[in-house]
Amino acid sequence: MKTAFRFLTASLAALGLSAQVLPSDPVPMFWGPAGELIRHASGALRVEAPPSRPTLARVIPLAPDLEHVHVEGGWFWANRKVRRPGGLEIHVLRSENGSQWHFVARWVPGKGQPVCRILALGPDFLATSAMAPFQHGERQSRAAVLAQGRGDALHVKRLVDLGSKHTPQGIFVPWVVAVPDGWALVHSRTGHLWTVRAVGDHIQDRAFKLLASVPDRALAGNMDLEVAVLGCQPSPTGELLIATRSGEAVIKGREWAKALNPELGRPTWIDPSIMKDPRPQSREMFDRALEAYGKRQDAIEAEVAPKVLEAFPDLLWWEMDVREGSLRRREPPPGAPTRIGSVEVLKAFRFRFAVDGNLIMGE
Amino acid sequence: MNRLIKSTARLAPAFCFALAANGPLALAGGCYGVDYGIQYRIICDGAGCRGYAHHPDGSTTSAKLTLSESREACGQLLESTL
Repeated sequence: MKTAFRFLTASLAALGLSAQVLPSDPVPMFWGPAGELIRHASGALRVEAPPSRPTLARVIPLAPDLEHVHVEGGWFWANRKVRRPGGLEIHVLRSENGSQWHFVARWVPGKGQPVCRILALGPDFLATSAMAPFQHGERQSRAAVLAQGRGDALHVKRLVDLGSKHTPQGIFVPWVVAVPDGWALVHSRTGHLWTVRAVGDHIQDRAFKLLASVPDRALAGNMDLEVAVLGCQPSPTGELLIATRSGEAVIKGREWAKALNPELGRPTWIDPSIMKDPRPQSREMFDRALEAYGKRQDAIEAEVAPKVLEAFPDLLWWEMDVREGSLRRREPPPGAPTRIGSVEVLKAFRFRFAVDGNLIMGE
Repeated sequence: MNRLIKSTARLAPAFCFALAANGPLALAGGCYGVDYGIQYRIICDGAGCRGYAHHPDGSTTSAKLTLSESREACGQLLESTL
């Protein structure tokens, strides 16, 4: 518990903590072996069929206790948290059709083995932890490759190298984007990106940085940044299409915002005696003070965000070939914007591919 | 706070259910805990999610979090405290 809270400390206490405008999380989508597109939609998976295979189209309802449903190697996969007398277990489930699920493996959280999300990765699994790290020998990381031993229990096979000198701290919940033979982990707040793929009989991991001007020390979570990555989706041919703010916006945006209103991100003060007082009226007073602080920060952000966006409106587009390990700037796809026109557009910014490979903005 | 909890129910039913069902540190629209005298909260409402850290000297800082960040962080915090 202490480890988990220490990482939360890094996230909340050390941050400059302005209230950035956060864009929508991208909708998870996956390409099936017949060219079908599978995407999450309101508690279900929606399968969009290519013209050559119209019968593949369907909607698959998902049980509410299934987490992190994904597609890999032609199978549907999911996590389910199961409470046992000895503690929590995370079960990895697999399904051929998305409806009938079968137990495959279990992860038992404990010391050095945090609660995590688990994704299929060839014969192994990729796991990421929001706060506490995986431990393997003397080393630690927020991401690890898990393997199944003789039984059904998973163990840490190796850690994923997310950086030796600077590594993610604070709350680390990267977007996980399906790529050929594996996954891309996208740190949307900083623009760091890692690919982890099962290539032949080994695991290949690579690190990328979308915005060269954002220093690696930003991974520690104590730099006040505009959110860097606005979207990342896999194309039908396996490349990643990525949209980011400009490096200048990410680095200078918060500085600009605080110049407009220095109260932004400034800590508040609540009498410690109220916090310690167990009486309901003190708790109510504390809650009200907290709510007022949060609302005030939101109001300031609403006031300055349009001006920050006006100063740094650029939208950059990138293409990554994960097989080659190459990343390059590209022209915006047809119909895609080059600037973010308003805070409302920023908040709702999303894109995805249609089954025919065309880009759809706003979904 | 009641208003926060009520409005959160519209945001993500699965998130609220998981938090409400998971032990003493659970709130309907977020989670909280204490360590080294610092009290932490994550609260979600219709406007989004926000994390707070309250220090023993009375200072309080906060950061906006995405729903997925809040869900994963609360899940780990709650499981860690059971």
